[in-house]
Amino acid sequence: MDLSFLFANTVNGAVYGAFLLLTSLGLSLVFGLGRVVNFAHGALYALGGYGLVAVMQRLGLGFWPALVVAPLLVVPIAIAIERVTIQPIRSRPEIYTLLVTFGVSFMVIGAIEYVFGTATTLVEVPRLFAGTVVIVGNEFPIYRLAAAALSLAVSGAVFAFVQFTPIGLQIRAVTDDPGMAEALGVNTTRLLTLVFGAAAGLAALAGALGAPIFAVHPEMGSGILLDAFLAVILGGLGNLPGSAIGAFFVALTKSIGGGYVADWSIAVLFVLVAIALVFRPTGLFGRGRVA
Amino acid sequence: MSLEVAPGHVHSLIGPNGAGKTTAFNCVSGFLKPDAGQVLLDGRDVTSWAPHRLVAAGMARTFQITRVFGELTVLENVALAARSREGRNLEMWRPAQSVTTAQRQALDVLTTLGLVDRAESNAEHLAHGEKRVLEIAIALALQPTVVLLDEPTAGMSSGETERIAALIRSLSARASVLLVEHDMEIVLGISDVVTVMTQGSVIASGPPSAISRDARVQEAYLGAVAGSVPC
Amino acid sequence: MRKPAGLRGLALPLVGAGALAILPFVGASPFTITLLTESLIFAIWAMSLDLLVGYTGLVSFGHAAAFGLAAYAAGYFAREVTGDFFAALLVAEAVVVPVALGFGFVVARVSGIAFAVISLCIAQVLFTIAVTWRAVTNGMDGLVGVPLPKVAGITLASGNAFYLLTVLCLVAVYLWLTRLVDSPFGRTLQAIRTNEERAASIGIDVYRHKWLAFVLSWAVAGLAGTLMVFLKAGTTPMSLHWTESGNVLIMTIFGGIGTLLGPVIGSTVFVFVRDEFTTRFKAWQFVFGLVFVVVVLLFPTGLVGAVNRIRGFLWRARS
Repeated sequence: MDLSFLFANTVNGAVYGAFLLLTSLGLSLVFGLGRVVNFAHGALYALGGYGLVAVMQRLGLGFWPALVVAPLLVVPIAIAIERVTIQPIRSRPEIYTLLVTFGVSFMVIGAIEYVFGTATTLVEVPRLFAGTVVIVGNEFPIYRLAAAALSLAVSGAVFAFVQFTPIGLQIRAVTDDPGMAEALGVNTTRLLTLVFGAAAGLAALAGALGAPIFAVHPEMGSGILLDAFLAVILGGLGNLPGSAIGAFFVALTKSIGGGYVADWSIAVLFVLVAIALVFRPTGLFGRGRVA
Repeated sequence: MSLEVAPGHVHSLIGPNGAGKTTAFNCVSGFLKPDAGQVLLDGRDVTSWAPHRLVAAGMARTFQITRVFGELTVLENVALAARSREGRNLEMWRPAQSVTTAQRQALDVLTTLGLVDRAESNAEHLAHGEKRVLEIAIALALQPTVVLLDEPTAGMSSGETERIAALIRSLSARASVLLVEHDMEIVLGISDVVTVMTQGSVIASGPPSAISRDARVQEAYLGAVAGSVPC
Repeated sequence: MRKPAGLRGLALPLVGAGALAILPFVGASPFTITLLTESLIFAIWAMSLDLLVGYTGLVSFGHAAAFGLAAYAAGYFAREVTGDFFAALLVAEAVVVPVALGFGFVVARVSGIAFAVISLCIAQVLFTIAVTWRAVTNGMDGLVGVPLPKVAGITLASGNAFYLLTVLCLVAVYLWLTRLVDSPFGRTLQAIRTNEERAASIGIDVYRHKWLAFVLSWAVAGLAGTLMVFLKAGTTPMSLHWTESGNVLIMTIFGGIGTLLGPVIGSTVFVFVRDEFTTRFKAWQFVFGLVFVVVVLLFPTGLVGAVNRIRGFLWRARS
């Protein structure tokens, strides 16, 4: 048992977990709030990465300004998506929003491919965090750790927001009992639009923040989307702390398992989640419901 | 709570809203798992049996909210149940219409219930009262020994209500009936036994004459009315 | 309410089959025939999805799993043992059916979104296996070297011959499925689609029916996968990718779910439009997504549904 190898995998897994968490939060919030499963979430993540590249290349901005601008560009796009494709069909069975966002994801990825081509684009690590650090005999890029910390910080801010602010209270109320919340005067439709936009912003931020680590290519969102689905299902759709546990469980299993069992660990993960879903449709921790 | 429906009886279950009547129904008919207790059908323990097994054992139910298969015709709705009763659901070759035994059984039931002239209409086009009768027809096609009727007269005019009441009374000739109802006239008029529930427990059970004079029952209903807060 | 398929019901498929069969002999180009073969294979695949979606109400986001699995199984067998079509088909089904029984055992317990997500997971698992089990599947490069198919010892060397085999398979599947949906089993599935709880309350064993529908749907998809691996002389992991599942989903929805004929039309339109489009424009995926969204939003009943509505409207207007 090579401890150093295990350690490296664990750290890398934790890094990915932080990004996965940031991405999964939005997915979980949107489902808990409006029972909308957003299949386009991965595409919005990719859009964040490409937004960063576009802003840096076309507008000549530095990494950090671009990191702020890119998600802000994605939010209005997401709001438009919600207004045009999701709101009109809220009254239909839930499967329809899954179908329509499925189509939207093709549109977004197709648009990205059309504008940027299908090649992978590398993004340079910002100078502030360039270089590596050695921990327990393993070399890690500083940026990797810094970006993960930033992801965790933003995720923590989201938790706090939902827990302590008036809007957060509205979100929790609607997630718990939409009918009652409406009766008490909460504008659930507008809230969903806002949260959908914010969720997209979080995903876009994750995509942009992760660009120097994971590179940028049109399909970059698909992998993390499936992992986010797994994380959120395991944790319970609409259950934020559960999503955190789910995200790290998925990330660490992939990373540590991947070190020893190669890519079969992914298959095992899927099987575990499928079984979990079947025997506990509420997720392993969640109040949320899937079936 | 404890409840026993005697063979051939019309047994009504009444109580204020939230007393737990529909919950009890759901526990008995396999849609909810009871935390404790047993459900016995003809002496057999059928607790936690899946709904379809209960049907095969002779239990049929209707629902509070009408749930007929709207896109199918009235006849097909009933024939579907009849075929199910015959255990023909897994046949994959012959057209469904060719199961003549089920078709005839369906027509018989519809004739008995006075719906046969609507046989070819799509179920969704029926009037509300007719849909409730259709629900009962579907339950009958399952040839049950026990029928559970969940508020069969909900939303009906008084004329339709009388017709249904007479129907239910006549049902007791072939099956036992457990009835959840709010219309006290019907309940007192057609029941052999009335059980009163409030807040999850039985407070009285007996023939209609005794129940209508029972002080606890009166208090439960009046108390529920007086104590309710508008909201 | 759909009328039972009597003699009149046979007219359409037979005439359609006849029309399709004579195409090679009335001047259709070999390229068109190839494209048409692909459409008809997709049609079989889409009809199998319709059985799940349109008749049982289970929307699968992973139907590529059945398709790709059969393609690999049949292709591998054809390359290693014999290119006999029906032998390969048998092998493909011998792989697909037990796998479907296994997955179906788990998946038939759920519906709606849970079913959609699990079906996606299943396809993703198979995709991952196809990419990583290089010894058998040759990884991302895909399975190659599948020989020409043989039927009763005769090698189907020409595109036309294989096309006719495909037409035959399509007609057989169509006739069988139309019978199936009119049978008590088919009616029961539709009741489950309408309202699972209500179906259970009339004595239907919902779980068992969903399981069976799942297995049957995979078995038919298995035929499509077998045909495809011979048409393309091989397959790649992309036949298991979620984008492929998306393709068959749009074909089925666009054509009209719950109609069986709809998916046939939907697949043909899809294949020809995609071919037209990808040769001229770069933005196929975007347009595909746009069409998907528009269909789901505005035409959920698809082409056939729209036609039926117009027909119904005209009929009512007349009477």
